[in-house]
Order: sequence, then structure tokens, then C-alpha cells
Amino acid sequence: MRMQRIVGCLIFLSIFCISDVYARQALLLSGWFAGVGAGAAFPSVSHRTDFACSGMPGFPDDKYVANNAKNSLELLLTGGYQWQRDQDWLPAYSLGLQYAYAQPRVKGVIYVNNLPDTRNFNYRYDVDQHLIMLNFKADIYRWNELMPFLAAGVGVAINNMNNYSDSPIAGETIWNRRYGFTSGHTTQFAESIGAGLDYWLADNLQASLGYQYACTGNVRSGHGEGSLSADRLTNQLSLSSVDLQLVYFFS
Amino acid sequence: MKLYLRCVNLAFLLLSFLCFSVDAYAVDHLTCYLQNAGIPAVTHVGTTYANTYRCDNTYPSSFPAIQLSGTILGDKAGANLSGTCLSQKIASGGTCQFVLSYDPPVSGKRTLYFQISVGSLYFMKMPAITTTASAGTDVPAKKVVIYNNSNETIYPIIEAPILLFGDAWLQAQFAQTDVDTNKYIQTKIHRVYVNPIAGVQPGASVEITVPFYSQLVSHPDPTLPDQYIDWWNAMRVYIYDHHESLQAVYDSDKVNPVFPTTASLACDPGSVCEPLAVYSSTVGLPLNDPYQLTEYTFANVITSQGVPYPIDTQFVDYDISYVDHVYLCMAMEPHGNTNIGYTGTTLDIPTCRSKINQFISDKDWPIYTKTPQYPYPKVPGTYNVIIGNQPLTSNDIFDRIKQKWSACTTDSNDPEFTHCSHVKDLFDKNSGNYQSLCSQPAPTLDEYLQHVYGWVAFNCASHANDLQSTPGANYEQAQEAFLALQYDYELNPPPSILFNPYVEFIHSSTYIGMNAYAFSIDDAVGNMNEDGDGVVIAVGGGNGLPNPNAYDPSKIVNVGLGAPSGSDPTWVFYGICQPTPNKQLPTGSLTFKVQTVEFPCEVSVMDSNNHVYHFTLIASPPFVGGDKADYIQCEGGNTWCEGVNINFVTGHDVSTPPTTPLASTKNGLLPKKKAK
Repeated sequence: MRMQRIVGCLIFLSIFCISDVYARQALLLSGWFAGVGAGAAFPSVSHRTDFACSGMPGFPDDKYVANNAKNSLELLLTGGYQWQRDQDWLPAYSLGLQYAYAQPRVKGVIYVNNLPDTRNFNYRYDVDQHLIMLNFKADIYRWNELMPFLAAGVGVAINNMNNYSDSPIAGETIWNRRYGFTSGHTTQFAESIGAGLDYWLADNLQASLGYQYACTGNVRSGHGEGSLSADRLTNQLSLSSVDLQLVYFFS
Repeated sequence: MKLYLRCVNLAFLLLSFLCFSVDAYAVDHLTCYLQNAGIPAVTHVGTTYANTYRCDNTYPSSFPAIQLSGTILGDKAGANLSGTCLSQKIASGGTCQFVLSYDPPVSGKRTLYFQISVGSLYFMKMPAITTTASAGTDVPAKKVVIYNNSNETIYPIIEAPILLFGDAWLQAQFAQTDVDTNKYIQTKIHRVYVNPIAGVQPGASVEITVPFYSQLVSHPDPTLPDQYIDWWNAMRVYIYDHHESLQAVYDSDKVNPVFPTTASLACDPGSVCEPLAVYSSTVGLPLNDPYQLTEYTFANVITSQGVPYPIDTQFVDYDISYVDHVYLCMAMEPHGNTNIGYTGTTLDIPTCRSKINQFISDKDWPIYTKTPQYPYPKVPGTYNVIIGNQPLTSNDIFDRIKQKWSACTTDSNDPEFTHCSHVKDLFDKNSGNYQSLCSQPAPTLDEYLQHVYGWVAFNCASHANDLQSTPGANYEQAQEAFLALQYDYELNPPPSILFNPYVEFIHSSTYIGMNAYAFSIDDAVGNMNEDGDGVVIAVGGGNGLPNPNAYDPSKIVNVGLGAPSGSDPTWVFYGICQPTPNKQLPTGSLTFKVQTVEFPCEVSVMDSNNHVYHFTLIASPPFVGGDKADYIQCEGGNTWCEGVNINFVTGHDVSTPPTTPLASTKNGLLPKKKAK
């Protein structure tokens, strides 16, 4: 329902803008664009706590708490249509598709039997994240070649979780674990907002430095091995990213 | 709004990180650890060793009990697992044990891994066990077992001596004929500390397997020194009870670790042992340290019969060195022999210390001193007092002894004049011979009395001058007089100055009242040489002793077996107080002793045709008066038994008929079951 509302809103905005263009005959250079970029992704984990079997009959489950995520390189591909106006305010707006790829790593700790004094193991896993978004972007003001912009988007995040491993915390425990979790993937609704600066390098080439915050939904493992076979590990991931793009406008 | 909530989420994450950073400790609520490292780095094929692991459950009491399981990995052939952890769940606050026993199936280096599982997910890896097994199964081993029946922790040290002039035990074991070349010299003391950190706790015991020897090199050359450690010849066991003093000697030794290439001392399953590391030293332990010294030698070697020296590994020789000092009350017995009884005393430690303090007070006797002084007194023997150079409290013991000697050798009215004169005659003549042979001046009175009280001849390197061979002296008369003087506290009334108050301290029930050496030729109970597979040392009580009775030489029965004639079967086994012979007679031997036993006692003997003969001793010796039936009982029709005779002159000797050829068994002998 939420997704439908956001998509509807974006379509409405696009139709409004296009109809406005045709209505007022104010558009100057409009056209298709394609961009490529790279940057840094700064993941953060919410829904940090999960539980899984301790393998000890009658004992409480173990508590898994994700408390850290490792930054990653992000690759970006964009493409779409931009409308430009010969105005200082709202000089351009665009509707496009964005594909982003990042590989964050999530880290956490395990409390054996969910006891407060048994924070005995570290765990971690890698996430291969493919983010495909429908983005609406509006340049707010033009000052010489520089245009600050705002953006918002909706889409899907394909989250592949893999390479789960855990290890005893040195000096804290003499125990070891026999089993971990297998790889798993989920496709999640994603939403994002962003802001940045566009800069005209040439007539049809733009550099764009932007920040984006994307809620990318759940990351979930496959079923565990051995005594963990009834359990899966789930965390919720969001991604802040800073990217630099080069955008080419087909005249 | 949604994004705002995400920001709150981010803030919460940051706060969580801060919280985690102060949550800095963690525990395991089920821990297992190696309690006793009984599998040494060097093992022997065919010998079983064991490690003990203890597991403790500290989960909250609301948690259920859990069943642990163990898995042996790696070169696990020959390894087995047992223990309470396998058979029962471990509840909160409870403990259990795993015992990993290992009998190396083949020679070579092997590594075993032991994992303890807590449920199906978690497991603990115990330290890897790497041992190199040698195929040589010909290294005999015996036991040293130490029971701590006191209420304080003790710290035993087992020490092998320096043997600068060669080692007859290794020469005998390796059947060396060139003993002048193959000397097996050992230039260092080797010590094994038994639990130097935690000690042997009150009520606990340790059982240690002691191999005859350990190699110090892979390919020993007996012509070179320090190729072996001999753990059987002239060994010492020190029992400390003061950890600070023990720590001082341990700290000085542990900088010199030694790593034998073959099996060394090993702790047996069930004993709580720290690793039995070996250290070398060239310095003896301080005389004034708070320990009680005991000694053992395993196996009898007879060097007088020529090379290769005969060796009999069946025997153990041991004593508690109360002739040197008294510090702790303890008892010793052979391990694996219930026939002997204990030497020493089973007095508890508080009573023992009370008796020691009483003696010190009554006789104004010195004690060993040390800085800082340990809390309990260590009393020197008389000889150690008069030889000087000992760290003792000030005393006038030697002055009193000289006063006694002067009176009893010059005053014909002194009640001990005759005995003193006999002793003086021997030592005067021995001293005179020494002066003549060795061209030495006459000894001073101090030197003279040191020789008297030590019963030591005046010798020089160039000439032997044994007491027994002293020209013109009556050695037997002097020895008898010397023994009488030592026991003069038993006279009624006793002399005002005793010849040796320390003898009263050791033997009188007023004080310690034990069977042990009080002087060098004490014939009460001295050095014991008995059949056994080791020694048992019991400190502060008799628990653990194979025979709970004190050794009593007046109750010995000497059994003489009739010599087989011609092709008749020979004697091979005997049994004391049991119907099945279980002890092997040395080849050709026709005697054995029945010692501290309960009567009636059935004696059994087996010949080489597996026929068993019996007679029953129904009363203890001495056999005085009456007739044979008062002391020996035979089963009906046992004609061999009826031929058993008693020597009523000695009162301690029993002689049997010889073995009987097979045909004769139909005529009265009672063959019984075969010995195992």
C-alpha cells in the first residue's frame, strides 16, 4: 500500500511536470541521459536482534545482535529523461532508473543462551546488494554551472547474504561453534531520498556529486546448518552513500 | 516521518555501540579443563596413560542439567574415554570428569585431540596431546604413591642423585660386563616437583609411575655422562609442607628444565597432578628446609657377585630418614604387598607436633633455623647436632655428650661404664690403626665422638680400616654395648644423662614412639628391603597403607622350603594369608618371610608342576613352648603339611618338606587350583 502511494506520487509529479511543460511552452533543452558513477556506501543495521537455537535441550536460544557494518564501494548506473527550463529556479528535473551495487559486511555478537554475561562470539556476513530504483530528481536553483538538487526514489533491493562465519571472542570463551548459516537472498521494497550538486562540465556533460539514504529492507540468511536448521538470521539494512557521477545528455 | 524514525534508529544504534563498549566481560557457564596431565610427551607401547579433565557447571540453577559428550580425534587408536561426564548429566553447581586413557598401539609420534561437546552446537577443544611412543616395553616401572592424611597441603619432590662413580643399577639392567668403561655416570641431580603450585591437598593422594630410567638422548652412550636419569637408585622423596620454602627451591630449579626422550615419571589416572616436569640441579636441597626426607631404591643389585651384576627387580628398599631429622610424621610401606606393615608412624600431624615440642622442651633440644623461620620445628638427629656446620638454634648437646662420655668411660661406678668401655675399646683400636696406617695424628675428642655416634670407622683413602676388621677389637661385643647405650632410656632408673636422648624421642611412647632409624645401626626398624612394586608414603595418618599395622620384626616367620631333589619339581610361587600362591619366588630361592599379618594365616606354595601345598599358621611367633599343633594346622590327609616343622629354638623359623613328584600326589598331597 505504501509502495503504491509513493509510486503513484512519483507518476503524478511526472505527469504534472510534463503537462506543465506543454502547457507553458517553457522548456528549452530536454532529452535522454545516461550516467555512470562510483562512491562509498555506509551501511547501518536496524532490527539488530535475532534468536537461534543454542543446541542445548531445554536451554534458552542464543541471541544474535548485529552491532556494526563495514563500509563498501558503490557502483552506480543511471539513465532517464531530463526536462530543462530556462529559469534560475527549478532549472531541471528528471525521471530515471538507477542501479546501484554495494557489498557491505555486517558484524555482530552472540549471547549464548541469551545470558547477559555470555557475549562470547563474534559473527559476520557479507551482503551483495543490487538496488534498482525509479528516481525523481529536481535541480532547485541554477547558479552559473552549479545546480543543487533533491531526489527521491522507490524500487527494489535484491539482498544476497553470504559468507556467514562466527568465531569465539579471544579471552572470553573456550567454546567453539560447530554450525553457521547458509547463504540466502531476499527481494525487498526500497525507498530513498537524496541531495547533491550538479555541475555542467560541458554542454552535454554533467558531474553530479550526491548523497543518498536508502532503506533497503531485510537481509536474511538461508537456513542454518545442523542444529540451526530451523533458524534463519534476519537483519534490516539501510545504506547511506556518497557518489560522484558523470552524466551524458543526448542532445 | 518514516525517515525521521530512521534517524532516531541511527541514534539508537550509536547509543547501543556505546553500551556494548562498556559490556566488557563474558564467561562460559560450562568449563572443562585438563586436571591431570597423565599422558607424557614420551610413552611406551603397551603402557596405559590417562589424562583427567574436569568440567564445572555454573549455569543459573533454573537451567536444566545437561549431558556432555566427548570425542577423540586425530591418531585415536589406543585411546578410550570414560568418566562420570559420560554417564550422568551435570547440573548447575555440579562437576564431572572425563578420563582419556591412552595405550599407544605402535611406536612413533602421535597427536590426539579431545573435544567436549555442550549440546549439538558448542564444543570445547582440550589441548592437543602429542606423545612419542617407543616400542621398548622392557623399561620396568614401579609406583610411588603419596597419601596426604593431614589437614595441611603437602608438596612432594622426587629426586634422583648425582652418581659420579657410575650406576650399578643401570649396569645391571643393561647386563654390562665392562663396568669400568660403561659407567652410566650422572653428574646432575634431577628433581620432579609433584604439584608445586597446588600441592597435594588434605585427604588427596597421588600415584606416580616411576620408570627404571629415562633417556636424556635418543641414542645413549653409556661411556658418556648424563645419558640417562636413573629413577630407581638411591632416590629421595622430600615432603614439604610450607609453600614459600618450596617455592624458593622450585624457582631456582625451574630455570633448568630437562626433557627426557623416553618416558619419565607419570601421574596415574585418578590422581590430581600438575605436569611432572623434570629439572636438573647440582645443589642439594637445604638441610634446614621444612621437609621430611624419605628414601627409596627399587630393585636389588648385587655387585659382589661379579659382572654382569645380578638384579632382582622384585624388591623395594625404603626408609624414612628420621635418623637425620624429624619434621613430619609419616609411614611407609611397599606398594603391592600387604604382608609387611608400616615403618614410621601414623600419628596425626597436630599430635606429632605436640610430641616434637614436648621433646624440644624436655631435653632442651635444638631445631633447624632459617630466615625467615617457618612455623613448625624441624628436629635434627644427634649425629647432625654433633657434626656441626648445621643451621641450628644454640645448644649444649655436644657438651652434654662429652660429659656423658667422660663419666661413663672413666668412672667405674657409672652404671654404663662397661658398655662405654667396650665401645671405647673398639674405637681406640680403630683410631690407633688409622693413625698408624694413614700416618695421621690422633683425633680430637670432638672428632672421636663424631665417629662413635655415627658408628663410622677412621678411614683414609689409601687404606681400608673397617670397624669390623679392627685388629684386637671385639666388634660384636662393642656393637652390642653400643646398642644397649642407645636404648639406656629404658633402664630403670634411666641414667641422669642419656647416651642418646634422640633415641628416646624416636622410640619411646612418651614421644613419637615409632619404628624407624634413630641412629645409624638401629636394629629396631631401619632400612626395609621387601618384595613390592613400589612404595606408599602416608603423611599424618594411615589411610592408603596396604597394611594398617605397624611392622613388627618380632612377629616375623621365616619359612624355609625343603630343597627339591633330583628331577623333582622346583618351588615357583608362594602366597601369604591366601590359598592361591601369587608371588614369584626368585629362581633357586627356598625362603620367604611372613611378616605383619593377622593370624590364622594360610600359607600356600606352588611347585613347577602347578601343584599347590598348604599349611596354616594359627598363632603368631615367637613359637615358644607347646608343640607344633599349637601353631600349625593342616587339612585332613595333607601329609606334606604334616611334615612342616617349627624351630622352637629360634622361635621364628618354619621348615617344610620338599616338593613331591607327581606320582606322590595321589598319596596325600592336595593339589589345588593353578596360580594365575
